[in-house]
Amino acid sequence: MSIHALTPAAVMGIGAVTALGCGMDAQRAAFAGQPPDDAARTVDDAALWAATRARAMRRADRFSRMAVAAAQEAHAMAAAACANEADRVGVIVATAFGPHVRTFRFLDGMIDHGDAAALPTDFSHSVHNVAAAYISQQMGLTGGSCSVTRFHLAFTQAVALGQCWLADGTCDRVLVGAVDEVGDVALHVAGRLADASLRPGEGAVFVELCAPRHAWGAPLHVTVASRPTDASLAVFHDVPIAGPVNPPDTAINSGTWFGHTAIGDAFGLLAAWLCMNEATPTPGSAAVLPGRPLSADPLLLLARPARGTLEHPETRGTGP
Amino acid sequence: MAANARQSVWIIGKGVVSAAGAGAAATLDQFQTTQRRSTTQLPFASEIDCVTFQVDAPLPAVPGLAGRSRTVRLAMHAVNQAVAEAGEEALRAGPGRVGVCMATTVASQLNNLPFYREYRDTGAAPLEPVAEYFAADLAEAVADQLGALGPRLTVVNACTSGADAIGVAASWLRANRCDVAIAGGADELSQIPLAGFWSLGVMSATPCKPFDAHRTGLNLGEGAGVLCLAREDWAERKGLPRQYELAGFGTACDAHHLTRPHPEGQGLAAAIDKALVQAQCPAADIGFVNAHGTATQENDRVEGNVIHRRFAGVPFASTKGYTGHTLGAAGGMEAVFTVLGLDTQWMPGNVGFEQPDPACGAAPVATPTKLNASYGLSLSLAFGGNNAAVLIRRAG
Repeated sequence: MSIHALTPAAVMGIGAVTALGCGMDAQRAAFAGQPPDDAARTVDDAALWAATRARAMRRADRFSRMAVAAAQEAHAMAAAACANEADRVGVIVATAFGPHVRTFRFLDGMIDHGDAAALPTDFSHSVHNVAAAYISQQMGLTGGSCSVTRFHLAFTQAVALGQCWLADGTCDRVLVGAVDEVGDVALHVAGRLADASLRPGEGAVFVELCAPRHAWGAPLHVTVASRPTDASLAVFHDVPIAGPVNPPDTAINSGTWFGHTAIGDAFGLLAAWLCMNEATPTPGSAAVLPGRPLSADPLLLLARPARGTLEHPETRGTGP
Repeated sequence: MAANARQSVWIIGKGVVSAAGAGAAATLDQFQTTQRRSTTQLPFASEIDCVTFQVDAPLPAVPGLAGRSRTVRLAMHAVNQAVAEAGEEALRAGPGRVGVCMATTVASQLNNLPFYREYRDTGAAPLEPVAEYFAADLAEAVADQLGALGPRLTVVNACTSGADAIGVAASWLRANRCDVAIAGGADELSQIPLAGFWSLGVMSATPCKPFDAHRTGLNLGEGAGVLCLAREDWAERKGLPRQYELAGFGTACDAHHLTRPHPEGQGLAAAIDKALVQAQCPAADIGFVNAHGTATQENDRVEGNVIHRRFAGVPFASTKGYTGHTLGAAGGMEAVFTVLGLDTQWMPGNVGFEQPDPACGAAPVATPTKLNASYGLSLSLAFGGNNAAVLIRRAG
């Protein structure tokens, strides 16, 4: 794929809910140890409900709660760095399968009670954009909302769309994330279709992005590219490592940590973020890519910004 | 070729299929008659008594679509019209320079009752419906059919999806992610959303009456609507006609309620303002509005008042009396209808409308109406508080 260079976006905040825990502190703590060895990587309900206690979320299920918890954390981190106006913050949510557990609950209602007597709350929570709706509502963000789906690299495409929104002025900040859940039907299908070595995972990862010209203090920039040029860390996500690409110094498989999902690119970005902020020695840049990359696949690149972009815009050029 | 927020985006092809007809000519003929092709017969067993709008003509056989879902086949019917109008040369761009952004609601879910019933009953289920579901990723399916290797995304924003897909493609083009893009939406009539909208109490058992004082709810429909869009520099290089410009797009969220619009229409007004600003178009220049107009109490009251506040005296109408509410397809189809309004300089009447509702703030045109319009606006509202405005300009 030929990808015209998109302007890299500054990562102002990041938030995550995974089987390793709710929040970035939990990710950091777990990432310092060894990958868990349980079969399915599912999110702890008690921690999730504790992180999403608002009354307006009383009807929300795990799918929406995972997304809201991760998005709230990313938005709070970004707001701590630089205030923003709610009507200039957009929301883009990627998902491969949507809230399918709630969808099947709606089908339960149709089968058990007839299609004229199914529950409206189950229907309204079964649409793919329910997570984005809760995020916008909980955080009062009115700058535009878009939910997108693909079975492969949905998050990568969502990040690219976020870069486009920042470039064309749709918004000044954009919360971009991905969410997917594990359910009985999905586990059944995955068990019959997938490699037995894969461990189904679930969770949500969000980043808040802004154009570099509006960013200061952002430790990392992200962009979507066609080749992992010069990356010193390769993070593979959807299958076990197939081999180094453009040999990096280090390669890891984020699926061994967070489980394997169709939104593995989002968990790959989370792993890359943790490595680039916590690991010793610290990688200079990271490429997040599928284990078996196709030539047409885009990939995520995470890198430290060039010197000068870390200065506060109001002080730039006014030093001694 | 740098990213440029002011890079013009041109509409070089369009395609549509709905209960109102397949293609522009058939649709316009139907809009002239003020008759509607609704039915009380459903293509599946259901205890719900309602009116729907279905595409009754057989869909053209397209190589490579055997076994694909009806939503994919509806989409390709519209896509092929758009590509034919644009000309194949228009899509002969470099590797990765043709994008596809499609919208749907039905195709994004494994909404297969027999599959799920068997899983519940036996703990196992056939995998063929799963394979069909994976093959129904609409953007992937359309891109594969066209051999398009540029960005691909399926938008799932409920009822604004089709409009949002057009907005996404425009954003790609302005950011120079591709030279040309196919964008729009498709949805087939499905038992699951039918049961869902029935459960919400917003479906009518009689043909819908958008903006009417005695409206009783929406009718579901099916169809597809697609635009072929091109960057200014690509259109110039290829000598493509630059007659209809996607001049502005606005998206804004109510952040208010999961299923109800903001009572003052804040998000819709913000989406309209964004589209006007992007197009550098004063509100007074809007020649007509294709309203979302679902015929639910809340939508029509909120939308009617926003239209009245922003565009007092400007003719507006909902086309859902001809097509039903086609969910993920609606925004794409209604963008096509807006181009047709600018092209023919008349707009269809709001079929079903008889008596004004003072609560709506304004009344739509009831019969086909002549226009003198350079700009047409198409509005969409959705679950989740999504709002979208597509602003199209006729050049010259």
